[in-house]
Amino acid sequence: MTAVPETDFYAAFLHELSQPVTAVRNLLELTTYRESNDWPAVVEDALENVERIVALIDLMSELKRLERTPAAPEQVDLASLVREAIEDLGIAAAENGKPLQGEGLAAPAWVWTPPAVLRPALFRILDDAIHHTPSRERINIVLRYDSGTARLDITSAGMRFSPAERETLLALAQTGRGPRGAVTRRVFRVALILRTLALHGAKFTLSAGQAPTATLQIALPVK
Amino acid sequence: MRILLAEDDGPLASFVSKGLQAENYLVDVAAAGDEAHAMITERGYDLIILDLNLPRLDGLQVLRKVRSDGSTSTPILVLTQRSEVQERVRCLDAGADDYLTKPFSFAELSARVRALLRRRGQLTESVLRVEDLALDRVQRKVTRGGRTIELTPKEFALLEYLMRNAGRRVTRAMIMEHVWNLAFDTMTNVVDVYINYLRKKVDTSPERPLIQTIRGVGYQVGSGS
Repeated sequence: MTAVPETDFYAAFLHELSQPVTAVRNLLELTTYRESNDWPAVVEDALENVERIVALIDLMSELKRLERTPAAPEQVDLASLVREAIEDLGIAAAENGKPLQGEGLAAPAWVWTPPAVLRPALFRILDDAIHHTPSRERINIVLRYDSGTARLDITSAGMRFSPAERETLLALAQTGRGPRGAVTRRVFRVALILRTLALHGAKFTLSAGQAPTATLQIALPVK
Repeated sequence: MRILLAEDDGPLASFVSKGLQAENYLVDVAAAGDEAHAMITERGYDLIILDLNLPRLDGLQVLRKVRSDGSTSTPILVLTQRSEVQERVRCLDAGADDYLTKPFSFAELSARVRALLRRRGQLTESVLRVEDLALDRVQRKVTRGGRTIELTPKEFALLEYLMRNAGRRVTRAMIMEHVWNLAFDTMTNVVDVYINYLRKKVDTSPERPLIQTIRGVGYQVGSGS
């Protein structure tokens, strides 16, 4: 695996960073002429924006580190990881009326990927899917492991993107380069997560299935 | 408790990692020195176990780097195959808190981990107490006012983390990192859902709730005073 030169993520990152920083600055300026009993609410808003900044910095630091030094791959049981993610996130998803449903997870599915990259990426993608799936809609996760390939299909209404977003997301995730123009916050975030997997050989497709759902397919390398 | 294990020998790393996980620690593994250094600077660990023979950046260089640039004051236990006194002195001088020579027994490693955490004031006793709530790490048992409370493993880990930080505010991101071993703030309310489950079991009496919500921040068990 060779180191990757600077990618379009850095420009998108600066754009993304400027928004919460502006919000925090404005909020803090507001506190100078607001009544003191308004402060808890102002501080809460500021804190939320700071959390966004921290989350972005964490993701970018991770990408930077992986671009510089890709992590060493290992045999990882994808089925067990997906089961763990469903168990951990499924309770919150079900409470919000968005049940997570897994299929093909009974037998081990050995993929050749660094676990320190795969686990957080998988949790982040599912977390994002749950967040963007409307209430009373299901999220299906299907694992197919045959003929030396491992494919994970995540299907939900939360995986729908416009054709232009889809093109940008896949280009950024797969190559680190995207078409010119603004990148939405969500596309940037999902592409960044998938990029950490692409640096270790993962491939993606994002198909608009039967409306209103869409499927993100992640194909992971097998030794 | 989160531990970084920097060890390039796969089978040994797997053995130690599984052993520590069985003792309910969260364990991250780094197989190279530069990877370990990056993880130390980017994440928060309660203890670092560092092998000296790491590829790309050896353990001694990692040790010197993290101590000289002030990346962490976390206790570091060095694993070494070199048993010469001079080598041990170099490690301790470079900032190691303790060392263990290979081949070692897991029981000894585990005891040294406990000692280092205890010395740091993080692991004082096997039973944690906040008012009438008691959590026994060894027996995996929780009681409140003498009444036994049945918890799932995740609920147990969450309560243990909150009780270790009794009187201190912990954010949702901190909880995700230390209980779920995920260094990111989720967009879903997974932490809040588990806290609600825990409340229904621990705070059954509305007069004396122990788990408090700190608006805009996270949660706290016990008073700060």
